[in-house]
Amino acid sequence: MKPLIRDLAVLAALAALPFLLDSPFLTHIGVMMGLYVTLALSMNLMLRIGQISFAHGAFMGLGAYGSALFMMRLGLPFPAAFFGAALGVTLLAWLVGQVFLRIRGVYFVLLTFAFGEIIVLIFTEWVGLFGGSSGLAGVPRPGLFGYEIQSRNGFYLLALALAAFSYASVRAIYRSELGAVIGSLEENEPLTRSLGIDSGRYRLLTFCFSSFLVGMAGALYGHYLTILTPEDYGFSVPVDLVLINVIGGMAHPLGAVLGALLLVPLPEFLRDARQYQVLLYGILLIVFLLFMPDGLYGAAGRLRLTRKGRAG
Amino acid sequence: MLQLAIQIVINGLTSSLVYILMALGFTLIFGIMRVVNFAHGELYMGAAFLVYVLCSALGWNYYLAVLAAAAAVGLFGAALERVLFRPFVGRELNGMIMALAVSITLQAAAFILFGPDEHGVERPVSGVFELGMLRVPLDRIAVGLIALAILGVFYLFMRYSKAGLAMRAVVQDEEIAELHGARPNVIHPLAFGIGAALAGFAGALMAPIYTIYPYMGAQPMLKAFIVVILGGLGSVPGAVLGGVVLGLAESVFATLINTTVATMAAFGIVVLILLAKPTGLMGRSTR
Amino acid sequence: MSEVLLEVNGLTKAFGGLYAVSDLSFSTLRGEIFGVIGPNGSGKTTLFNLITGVFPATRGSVRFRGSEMSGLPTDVIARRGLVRTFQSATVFKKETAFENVRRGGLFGCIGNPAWFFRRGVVSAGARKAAASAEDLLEFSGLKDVAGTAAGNLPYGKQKMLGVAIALAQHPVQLLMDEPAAGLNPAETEAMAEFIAAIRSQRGIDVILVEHDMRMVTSVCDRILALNYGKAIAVDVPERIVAHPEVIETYLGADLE
Repeated sequence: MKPLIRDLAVLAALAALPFLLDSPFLTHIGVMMGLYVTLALSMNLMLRIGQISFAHGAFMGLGAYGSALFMMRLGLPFPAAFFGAALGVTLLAWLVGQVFLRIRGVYFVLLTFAFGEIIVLIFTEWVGLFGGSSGLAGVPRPGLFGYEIQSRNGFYLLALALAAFSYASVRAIYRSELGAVIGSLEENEPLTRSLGIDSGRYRLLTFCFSSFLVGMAGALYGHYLTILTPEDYGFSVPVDLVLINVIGGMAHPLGAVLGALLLVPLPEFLRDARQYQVLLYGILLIVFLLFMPDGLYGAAGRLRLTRKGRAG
Repeated sequence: MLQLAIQIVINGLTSSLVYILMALGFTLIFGIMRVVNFAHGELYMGAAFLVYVLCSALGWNYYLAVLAAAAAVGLFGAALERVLFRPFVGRELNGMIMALAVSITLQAAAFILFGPDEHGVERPVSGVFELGMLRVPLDRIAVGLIALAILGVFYLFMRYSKAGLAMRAVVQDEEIAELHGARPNVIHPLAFGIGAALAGFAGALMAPIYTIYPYMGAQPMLKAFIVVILGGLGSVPGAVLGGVVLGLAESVFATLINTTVATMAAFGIVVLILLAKPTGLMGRSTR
Repeated sequence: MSEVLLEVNGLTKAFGGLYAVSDLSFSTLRGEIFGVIGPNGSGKTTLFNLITGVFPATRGSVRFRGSEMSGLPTDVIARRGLVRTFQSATVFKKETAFENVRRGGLFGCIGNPAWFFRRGVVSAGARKAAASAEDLLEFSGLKDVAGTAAGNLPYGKQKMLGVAIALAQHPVQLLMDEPAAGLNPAETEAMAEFIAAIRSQRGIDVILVEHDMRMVTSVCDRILALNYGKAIAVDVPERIVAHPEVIETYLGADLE
């Protein structure tokens, strides 16, 4: 079966799922999984260039508040608000990225962390615009082609579309020569630059696209929850995304997807035992960092190789 | 007016001393092992809970409990280095992620053990020291004096002891320090242990002053982080300078405007410093 | 009269109060293999880094094919045809030798990500890079290890691969940073022959910064001798090895 046909078949099956299962709880999990797949992939891009952005939570918030406010205050229709917010986040990334991306390693993490905290503090302080710590309520539902999406199934389809777009685009990037450049930059930047690559521009491009994905995920998240509170967009978001990538496996976008699929449902099932879930995450992360640094995807790959070895 | 200024300064300095304790530990751990210890706040919190258990549940003398808690946290820190952080020498980002993992694990563990409610420890001294219109709670003075004593011991240790000299050499240049006999397998856990113990002292000293709950480490961690960036990651004098600056600046802002704006300004300065001179006001460029 | 290819004028670099290179002037002629020698601390590496754009000069200029290069970033300089190799074997360890050379040929075409949007740039560039990689691997004697991961190659072959990667960019002038460093005598000999072939068979000029006097005198047309950041002499090898100040600087070194 041609890969494209297979991918479309999988997509169609996933799209049909909520209608077949008819469980609002499971559909809700589906929505969150779709959003987190997108978010995890956005972090995967940053991990690929070795610059972990801890501002991604705040960017998600900017997407959420942005899209909501575009609809509520400016009366823009959903598509314009949604993409407007995502592009706004991308523009911000483009502006700050010019200076931020020159900083590397842990300093970049600390820098983006501080920047993200400032943004979240603005969400809390600027009560007039963002509603302060009690949040912004009454975020309107998305409307497409005149039809307002109210049902969980509708949101699921939107989240699935976003996840599919993210996965397809990130995978395409990694497989292309663009991916070869990005990988080369991480492997040996001086060599790559000596080959004529403008590393600054490539890093900026990666950061911008990553932020675009985050902005879209944030916007959809906002419309889904209909209430936006600043603490949803703090430091814990990028921590979760790093967690997902480490456990799922950073080397391939499928690893990010795997990590999201595995770790997102847990909080929903362990709702009462939230702290046990966090404890589990922490321990899992420690274990994986120590013993399985390529994550589940890497471990599966090695398993496949040893099986082939035994068979051959 | 002068009274207000002096009050602001005194408030600032008493906060500064605790920030300095936190920042020193944090910067020592980074300077020696290049680990950004995101779990530092949880070490603070752990010591506070230990004091709670020892004092409120077991009836220990408060000052003994402080020593015991700091020592326990120090040993725990050394163990963390040995087991969890040693594999990541030279891989700063991974070491940082490990610290994040430890942080969330410890927070969750505290939550599970003690629940979300706030706990308290009785103040060892009560009352207020008054001089004219100046009012300083006695327990703050006690904290300040003890903190100064700890800083004094730390200074003497770093300056005059063999281990202290070895550690300072390692911060400057690990390779050369090794040639002169500093053994990383001894220095690293010692540094992590001392850094953790300093955080432990901070937590234990603050236990009677504020309430004790699982997320209490987040704010001091944030403050330590800001102080260390100001003074320079890895710089011990920088941590002291940064602590004083932050304590005073916060006191001024908080009294005159509000605390959120103070925090925003602090983060803004962090961004500027990381962009302009990532090694901080007093740090040296290592790369 | 040969045309001037690289022209260095009054080049000076100060680090704080220390002058690593001071008032250096020389030029290379089209078709030349030009050597730069000097003891440790003589400014060879600094000169190299100045020409390749690693950091800007304090004073002076570097003109390549008539255009000013000083102040341009390394990737731009590389795209203009002035390509460098590295002293230590610098390759993409996880990729095959073939892929390494292919990237060398391709990356110059996509130096700016915006060029991805130009029609056919990537596909044409990739095709040419792949064809060129085959040819260059043969030329460098690496054809038999084309499919091996670069990190698994012996050091000598990794260094050859580093040169092949640089050649893949079709440079006008190749700047080699201690090409013989880390090589045994047989490998050094092979490298010297290779450098000669680069000039004679590919028409690419070479500047080499080197310690190994035997290699430099055997393969270079002219040599610049440096000491304390200043030029002692620029001349043909026979006269350089007989130059009194050069001999003094290299007291004890084998000048044969």
